[in-house]
Amino acid sequence: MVTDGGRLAGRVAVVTGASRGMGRAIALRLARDGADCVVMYRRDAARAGEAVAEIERLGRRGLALRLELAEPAEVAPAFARIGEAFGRVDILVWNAAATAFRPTLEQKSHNVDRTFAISVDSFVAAVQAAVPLMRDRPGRVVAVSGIDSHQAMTAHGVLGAAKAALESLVRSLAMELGPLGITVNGVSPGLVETDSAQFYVERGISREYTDAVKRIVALTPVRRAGTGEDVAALVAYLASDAAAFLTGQTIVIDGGLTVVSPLNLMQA
Amino acid sequence: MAEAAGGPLAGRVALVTGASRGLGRAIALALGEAGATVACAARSGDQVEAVTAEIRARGGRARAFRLDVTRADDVRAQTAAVAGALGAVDVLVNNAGITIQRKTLEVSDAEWDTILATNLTAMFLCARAVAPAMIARGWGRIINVGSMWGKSGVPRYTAYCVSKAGVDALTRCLAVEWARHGIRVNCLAPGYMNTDFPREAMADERTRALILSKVPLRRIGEPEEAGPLAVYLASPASDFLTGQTIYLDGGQTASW
Repeated sequence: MVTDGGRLAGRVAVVTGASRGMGRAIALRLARDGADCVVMYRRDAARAGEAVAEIERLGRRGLALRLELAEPAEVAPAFARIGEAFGRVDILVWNAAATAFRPTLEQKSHNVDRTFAISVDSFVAAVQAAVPLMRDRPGRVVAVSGIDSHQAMTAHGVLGAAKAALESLVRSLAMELGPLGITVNGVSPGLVETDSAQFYVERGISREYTDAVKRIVALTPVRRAGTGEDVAALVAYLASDAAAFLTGQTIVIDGGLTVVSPLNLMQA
Repeated sequence: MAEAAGGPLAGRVALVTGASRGLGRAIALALGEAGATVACAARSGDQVEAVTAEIRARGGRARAFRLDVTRADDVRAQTAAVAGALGAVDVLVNNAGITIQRKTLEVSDAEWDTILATNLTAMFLCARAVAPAMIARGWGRIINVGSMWGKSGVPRYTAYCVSKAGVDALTRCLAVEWARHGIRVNCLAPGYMNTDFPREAMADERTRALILSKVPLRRIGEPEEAGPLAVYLASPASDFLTGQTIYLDGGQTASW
């Protein structure tokens, strides 16, 4: 099957937060397109192992690697291990994120630090560690951002700031790494039904999840929630050789939700 | 060709305007290779016939149509002709475009009107002509070719920049209005590509160095690089992506 021009045979991809949800869908899609895949995870070793087993069933090499992204100092050793195991990295997908969903006035400084450590400090450390491993072949960095980077969302003040920083890094790194043949892009999904989305709705805004999804879908022009596969197909394109001239962009994939005027949303 | 038979666009009919050269030609070839039957439209004949021949030589299906996108009657007649010959249009690539370099004070009424008519109004005319059949079938893809200049001020290119900024707005409005009918509308906005117009500018060594110094990838794009992005935007895989302008510019707008 032709997969959006993306043939990744022989490539090595590293995906953070890949044991479940969007990260898992991305890792499996890259594996289907031919890449060997490192599944980075923090908590759920069993599910990370399942993801690796699926990657191996597709005929690729897989490796589950535990990494605490709140500790940026752990990033370089993790990439050293990847270097030993695979000899290279071609694709880095920065998907993992975490925060304390609460009003900004109630954020403790350690919450702020942790959110930024995961989305910003560790991302910078990972790019620094991955770039020397992106040898001979075009390198690809894809960062997963979100609506909160450019529009205010309840309980997302700190994470939104971290994601905005991430998108800024996408532009700066695109400029710096372009001459090395490495492209750096972001994807910014709207509502994608994952454990994280459910956690945010229930814990962040104290709403009933199914009802909240129904209401957001009604406001979304394409009248559905996104899936991990929607996002994964875009990441697969960005990771492919075919996207060599596309860099420094953060592509919004939200079913049209954020192009609708707020006045129109009120009528819905 | 096995790929064309089972490609992501197998069974789809695509109409590409301005398909005789440059970006339009590259996109038409890519859509053909992805399995679509391609209606290659252009104002004049010979070159566009050559593009259809090229698609067929690669195992695809294509047919050439003469179309002046600035004339509403011609748009109506030719989109009907495409539907009659190949089937209703599933994928519209609004690509035809022109430009002139002229100090704004020296731009004539006719020049302004021609650029806006060709680069912007024509996209509305073509979309309006093919959308009813897309709505009837509950599926469609519209790809408008914009430009990174749609979001910047470029001296001596006022009409062009205005037209391309309009393409962004047209993209958003059609995306929101027609999303419920299964139609996705996005804008593919190139930076400097190796097509006729920048090629002329880059013949001058100083201009070439200046242009390349602004592009993080230190090169201009090849028209062929627009193909895979167009295929993705035309395919079922992009179902959740609509109303967006995607810059294919070697990182140039990111570094502004």
